Amino acid sequence: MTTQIETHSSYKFRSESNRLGLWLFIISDAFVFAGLLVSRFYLFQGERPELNQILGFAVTLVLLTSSFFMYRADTDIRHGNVKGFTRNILVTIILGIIFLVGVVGLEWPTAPFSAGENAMSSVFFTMTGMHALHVLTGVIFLFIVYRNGKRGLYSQERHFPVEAAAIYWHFVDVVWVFFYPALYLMGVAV
Amino acid sequence: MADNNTQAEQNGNGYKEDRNIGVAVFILLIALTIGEFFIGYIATDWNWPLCGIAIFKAALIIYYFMHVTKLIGSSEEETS
Repeated sequence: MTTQIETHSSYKFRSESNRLGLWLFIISDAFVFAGLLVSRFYLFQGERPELNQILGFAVTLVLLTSSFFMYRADTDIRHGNVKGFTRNILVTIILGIIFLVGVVGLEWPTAPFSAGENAMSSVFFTMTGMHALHVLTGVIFLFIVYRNGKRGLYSQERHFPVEAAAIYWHFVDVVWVFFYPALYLMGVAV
Repeated sequence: MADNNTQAEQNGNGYKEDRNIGVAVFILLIALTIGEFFIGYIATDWNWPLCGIAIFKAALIIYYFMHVTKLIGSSEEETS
């Protein structure tokens, strides 16, 4: 009985349960983005909005780079390199903010339509807005993890929150991997 | 900084290998994105190649960066 209680309260057991819960959340969240993607193909057909191609390409590279640094932060903490972890997670946060500025601060004001103009504009702002909201949530999540890391709360043995933040951040990146070609590359620009 | 890396190399098995995998996947992702950009630039109706590249990129991130194999009990170590 005692052994069973100890097993169920162990950090490994809790991490495995939390990991499963996190993936269930990620899968359910993915359906929201999948719905948006389907609506884009249904409403745009063979067209796409005339957007700033260079800006779209640049923000995509920024997000991919942030994912790389997040991977490094995750790897560092898994191997006990706490300094490397805090440094890399800070770079990830900065790149996440740059992505947000690129999409919300630069792309939105220069978009060739306003939010409620037509179906295409509504889908564009819903897709990028929903994604930007997830990036903002991710940046806040990463900042909390960074702060806790600075306070010495994570170690090689106990670092599930870092893993969770990494999975969430990479998920946001995966969503953009599909959104970028759907919004910027596929179809004839109108 | 160098001490930290050395310590990590001593502590963790395959620290360097893990980092190298990250670099390789990142370079591949960037190369594929550049390819996507040019495909979108030269051909507006090449939707299937763009879909294929996007799925491949997503698979790379999910497999290597998100460690999806941990979910189904892989050989990746986890200290309790």
